[in-house]
Order: sequence, then C-alpha cells, then structure tokens
Amino acid sequence: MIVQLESVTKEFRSSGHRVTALDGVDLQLSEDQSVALVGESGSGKTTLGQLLVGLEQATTGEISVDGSPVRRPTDIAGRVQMVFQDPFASFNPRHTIGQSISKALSIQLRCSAAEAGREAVEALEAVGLYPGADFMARMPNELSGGQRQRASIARAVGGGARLIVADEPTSMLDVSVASQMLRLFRALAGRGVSYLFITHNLAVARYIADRIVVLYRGVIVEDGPVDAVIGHPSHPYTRLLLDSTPDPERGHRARPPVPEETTEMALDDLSDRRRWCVFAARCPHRSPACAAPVALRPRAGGGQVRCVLPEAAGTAGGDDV
Amino acid sequence: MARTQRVDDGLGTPLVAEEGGPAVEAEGLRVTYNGRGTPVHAVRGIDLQIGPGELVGLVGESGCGKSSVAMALLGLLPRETASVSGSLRVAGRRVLGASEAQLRDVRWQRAALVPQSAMNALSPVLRVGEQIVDVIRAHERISKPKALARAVESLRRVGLEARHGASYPHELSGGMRQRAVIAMATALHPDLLVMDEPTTALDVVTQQLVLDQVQALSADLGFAVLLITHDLPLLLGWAQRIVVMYAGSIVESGPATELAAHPQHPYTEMLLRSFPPLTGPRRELAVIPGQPWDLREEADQCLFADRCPSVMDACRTHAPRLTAHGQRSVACFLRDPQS
Repeated sequence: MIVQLESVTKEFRSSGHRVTALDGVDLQLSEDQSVALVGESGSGKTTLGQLLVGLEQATTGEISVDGSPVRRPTDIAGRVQMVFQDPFASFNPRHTIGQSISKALSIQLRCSAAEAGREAVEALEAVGLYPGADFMARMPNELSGGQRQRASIARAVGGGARLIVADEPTSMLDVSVASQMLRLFRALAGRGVSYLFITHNLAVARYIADRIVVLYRGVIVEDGPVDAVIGHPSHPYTRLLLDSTPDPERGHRARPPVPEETTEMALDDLSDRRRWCVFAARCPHRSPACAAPVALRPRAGGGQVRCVLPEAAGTAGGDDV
Repeated sequence: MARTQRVDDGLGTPLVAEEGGPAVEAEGLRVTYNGRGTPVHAVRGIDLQIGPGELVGLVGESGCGKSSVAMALLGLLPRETASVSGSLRVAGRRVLGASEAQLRDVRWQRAALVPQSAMNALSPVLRVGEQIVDVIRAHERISKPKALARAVESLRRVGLEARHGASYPHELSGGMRQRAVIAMATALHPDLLVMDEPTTALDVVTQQLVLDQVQALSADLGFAVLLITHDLPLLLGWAQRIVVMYAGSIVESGPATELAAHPQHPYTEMLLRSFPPLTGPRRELAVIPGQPWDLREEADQCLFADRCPSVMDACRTHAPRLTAHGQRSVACFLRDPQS
C-alpha cells in the first residue's frame, strides 16, 4: 500500500461558516495503480490531491505514505509529487528548465547538484524531450505548452516518487497536445509508480486509469475497476456524470436531459448530510430509505458503492450504460 | 407575425430584412492583425452562413481563428490593429464598415456575445439584475421598473429567480453566473447568440445544463447560436452543424452527425480521434505531428500539408478550396481533386 487515508476529513472556514470539503474518506492506493478521482467542481477532488502532496493538512483522520504517517509536509518529501493544471504557471520564469528540475530532484533524491543534473537530463528524455541537455538550458517561455507540461511531468517523475498526483493535467492544453500527454501518462504508468489523476472527464479517466473513484460533496460514492464503473455505473451520481460526459463515439445518440438540483430542494433538509444520503437532493431515485447516511457496500464487478438501491449492489451484469 | 424593417446596406439601396432571414452571411471574411512586426493572418477568407435558429458549432484549436470570427461577427475587433475585409451581414445588417451607431444596433439586439470565461464577465459591484436593466435601457426607451420586469423574465427563462437578480455575482455559483450572462445576452431577443468557449471552466454536469438551457432557449426564442469551442465531442448531440477551422480557414463543415461519423478532412478525422471514447472499444489516441501553421506566413498550399498523413504533391503547390458536396463541404484534394 503506497498511500492510505483513514477517515480523513477536511474543513475550511469560509466567511464565518464551516465548509466540509472531505468527509470521512477512506482510501487505499496500491503499487502500480492508476486511479482516476472524478467528480464535479466542489466535490473535494482537488482538496484530496492537495492533502496527499502536503499542500493542505487534514482536519481529522490519518494519512500514511509507505506505511509511515504524514504529520508535516516534509514527511512526504519526494515520495508524492504533483503535476499541476497550468503548465505556464508551474515553472519559475527566471530559471532555466534545468535549474528548476535539478533543484527539485536534488531535494527529492537528497543528492548533489551534479547528480541531480544528470537525473534531470534522463527524466526529460523519458518524457520525450530530446536531447535533454538542450531543454535543460532553455527558459520556460521558450517551450510550448505541451513541452512545459512534459517538463513538469519529468520533474514529478524523475525523483523516484511513489505516487504522482496530476490535477486536471490536460484541461488547459490544446486538443492535439492533450492527446500526447494522455498517451505519455499511459506509457509511464505501471513502472513502480502510482498515479492519481484528478479529472471531471470520465472518458479521460477510462483512457488513463484502471480504477475510478467517484467523489460527491466530499464523500466517496463509488469506487471500482474502470470497466465496471463505466460499463455498469451503480450509483445514480456516477450515471449522471456518465450521461454528461461528451463522447466522440456517441454520434447521433440523444443525450438524456441532466436533472438539476432545484432551489426548493437545496433549501430543504435533503441536503443535510447527517440526515440524508449525501446525494439525496439530486437523486431521481430518492426514497424514504435514503433518510440516513448511507454506508459503502460491495458492488457487482468489484469495488464499492454508497447507495441503498437494491440494483446498486446488483447482480453480475447490471443494466446498460 | 413577420417583423419587417428597412435596412441600409450602405450601398444606397435600402434593403428590407425580414425576420426568418439568415442570422449570419459571411463571404470572403478576412481578419489580419497589424500589430508590431509581421502581420498575422488570423482569418483567411471564410464563407459562413448560419440559418435562422440554427445551432452551429465552430471548432478548432488555439490560433485557428475561431475567436477572431466571433469578434468580427459582433464588430468588436479594434480598428487600429485589426483589418477586416470581405462581406459580413448579421441578421441582415451590414457589419463591415458600419458606423459605431450602426454597430450598437447590431450588438445585443441582433447579435449578443457570451464571452470566454463568462463566469467572470459580470461587474462585481453591481447586482445582476441591475446589469441586465442597464443593457435593456441602453437600447430601448423603457422605464426602469419595466426594464426590471424584463430582466427578471429573462432570468426566469434560464432557470434563475428574481432573488438571483437582486444578488451580486459573487453570491452566485459559477454555473448560475454563466446562466445570468446568458440571460443578459438574450434579454433583447437577438437573432444570433455567439458563445466563445462558454463551458471550458465548468465541470461536465454544469456544462450540459448550460447547453441544454441554450438549446431550449433557442427553440423558444428562435435565435441562432454559434458555439465556439475546441471540444469537438461536446458539440455532438447538441449542434446541428459543425464547422472545423484550421489556420484561419474552414477545412470542413457539415451536419454534425454525418461529420462525426464520416469526417472527410484528415484534420477533422485526427481531431476526432484525439479524444478518448467513453463507450465502444478502447483505441489509441491520434497525435497530430508537427507544429501548427505559423499565422504570419502566407503560402499557396494546403496549410495542413506538413502535418497530414495523406499529403500529396498537389497539396504543396495549390491551396484546396472549400467545395460543397450536398450539405457537406470540405477543402481537401483527397475528396475533390479538381479544386
């Protein structure tokens, strides 16, 4: 187990009231696994990524990396690395690419500058920036968006990290560059490093991950192998996400209308997470059985789901997408 | 009830524009930016027709000229640095060479823009409803209470309520702000709504809500929509017609379903295959090799030739013209050796 989260809760204070970004999250990421963390804006997926790299600290709960608990950001040093969304903001514009990457690698690998420089050249070439020595000497503004994102992946991967957290790594890139990045991530996967991809696009998740974790209002509502979750979504929220995801293969097939959380529902106590299922306010299948927090239970095809519907746990097969 | 009015086409012949005429008629539209240094040829003579109430998606990557087209449609390009030529009519009104007063008549009432990052397009210091009232009163002689009633009506149409009109933008969620901007853009019942990357900052669920809303509004009010995006799959199941731009030119256009099922231009095909599929068999993603065309360069050749897997000799010596085959058009020698 590379990373383990136990009942992790994260609260922020915002203009006087508390906002629960994550609510009792239990999650294990094992070696060589590529996991996609999906959910809407505000689902807590970015917060979860930031806890893992030590940019935020959990309000309560335990996070451990390689079996040892994380108390301070320095406990993570080098073992979990992040690839950010914006390739233009993730390098110091006044340092060469080589300076930026060597510095990061020398900290992660606890090695000399010269050694870190050699590692940096290797890392740049591993992500397709040939010859690495040329790219070392360049300033960030001399690189295209795609090259910069490659360089930031080199910085994350080159220091022997056990887990890479990539927060929407392709959403700011042009289509043709994004497809190169997705191919690169898939080529890098399974070399002793685990990946946590944060995305709201399930088609992207399907391409790069082998496991999908669906987060809704800070709670894991479904977690399972990628084909099981996408082929037979068990949670009504996962189905909503799937129906909303643009699909190049969909062609002329009509997309079902997206249900909306109405204002009266939002004002009602349906959104009270201590009294109702976390998804109750928007769920088309809401019943009195949902009037209590719902626990995760095993789902057909592997993984877990947080739903009381009998068909959620399902028999093997389930229904169509 | 047909609304008819006299329109000055600037050539001395008054035309009568009737409701139900095309929302956009562009011929040979060119946009060239003359900043410092070499001119940038952003839009290279495109023909674009948008029918009344038609939902059209304009797709392409950064630098293909799609946003310049949007700006040109609304007469928003700065006269000092952008030279625009060709002919362009929006809802029957001439846009090129029009005076500021004529353009004011086009904007909001004939064509309205939902800009990029529309979530942040509202003034932070005014209530949402007041901002819509300002737009209405800038174009119509109407009392404040009446304008407010109209503003509330247009907010209702996008699923917001009067109390949202009394809110400041920061009090609304991103999706709500987006809808408020759409309410503002449609308050004066334009013939054309131009949306420039309207959903890029939104998550998938909110994206679909906004698109559903715009589709329903268009059906209700009868306006045409030009939705500009880099996200081709987003347009499938929404747009009636898709127009693909590359390096300032239209390379392909056609009914959305046919274009997606049987792309005719190699660029369209590669673009489609650059997106991972959600259903069906997994497949490797296409990678378009090389770099986009340098927009400072002009050349008599296909501008996609250097990146095209099917390039032929003719592609490097002649520029293929966009040629219609029924409802579809393509600018490629593979489909149309004569052009």
